[in-house]
Amino acid sequence: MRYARIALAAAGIGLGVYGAVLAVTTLAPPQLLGLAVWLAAVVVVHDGVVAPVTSALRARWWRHADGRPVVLTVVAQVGFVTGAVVSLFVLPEIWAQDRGSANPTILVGDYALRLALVWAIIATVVLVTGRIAVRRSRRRPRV
Amino acid sequence: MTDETGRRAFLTGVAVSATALVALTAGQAFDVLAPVNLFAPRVKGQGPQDLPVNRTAAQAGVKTSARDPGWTLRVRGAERTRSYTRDELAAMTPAEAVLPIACVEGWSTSARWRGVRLSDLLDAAGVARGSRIRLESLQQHGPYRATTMPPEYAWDPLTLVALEVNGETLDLDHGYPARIIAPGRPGVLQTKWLASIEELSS
Repeated sequence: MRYARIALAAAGIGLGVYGAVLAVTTLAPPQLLGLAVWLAAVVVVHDGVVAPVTSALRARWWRHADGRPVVLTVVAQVGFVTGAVVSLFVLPEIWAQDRGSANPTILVGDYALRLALVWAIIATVVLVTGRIAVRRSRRRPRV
Repeated sequence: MTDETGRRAFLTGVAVSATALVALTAGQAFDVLAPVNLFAPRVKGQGPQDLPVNRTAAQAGVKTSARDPGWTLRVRGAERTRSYTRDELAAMTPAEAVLPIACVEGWSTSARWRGVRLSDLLDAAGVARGSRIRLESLQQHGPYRATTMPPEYAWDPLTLVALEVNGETLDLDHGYPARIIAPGRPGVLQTKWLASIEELSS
């Protein structure tokens, strides 16, 4: 176990150093700066925005959770994750579309409307499933 | 919620979100998903002559040179060099192929191409069958201004110097006056606005 850990750590450090050497030798200084900004921004956005928001949502969700069927939580979580993943893909497209492109065959859809539609469908599925689950659990109270 | 339920919910979330994203974007490359292509940057059949464009003539800076009535295609073999006007190419034995533009960006659309077999032009210039060839575009800049084609592609009977696509003269954005279309090559190597073909050492 100990040797496995040492080997894994050595491999990880080695790969990291190799990556750093590659980055420094193949990228121009402005690109390196962009890379550094991007890596820092990922941490800042995750720790500063994504984590607090999801923690707050989670706390609020569980505040009055007595008797709420588990399946409702599962469906809501899956719905939220799906919407979030699709949004991560689509929001940059909307931003790029707004900037405009010299090529008329790229980014041709009404992405904002479609994203809203997808969120509406997710919300409907969550609400309908939740209502069915609540009704069932009332009919057959949990022991 | 128990750990077991949480684990299952997590795995379900990963599966559903990945499936949703693939289903709503892969239609830019796969016909079966084209009707639900809500979010891909490209749409099958969108563009001049029902075909998307990666780089337009304006972006490539060839709007003037590609329309030049004095354009000729130069084919240089080790033995001799031949030049063809567009009319001369059009008068040669025609060949057709249904081949996709398969872009490294992730979209793919098939089209019906018509033109001259590249091998016919190479043979006419006395290019040796084992030679690699170099294709050059009218573009002055850009990483794909010139490409090298190995002999197995160059002498493939489906590889064309295309003059028409989907029954019409090539649009300027699709490479007018002539472009390369070969099977199994990424879109960026299907040289548009073709200027010259040259034999390299084998």
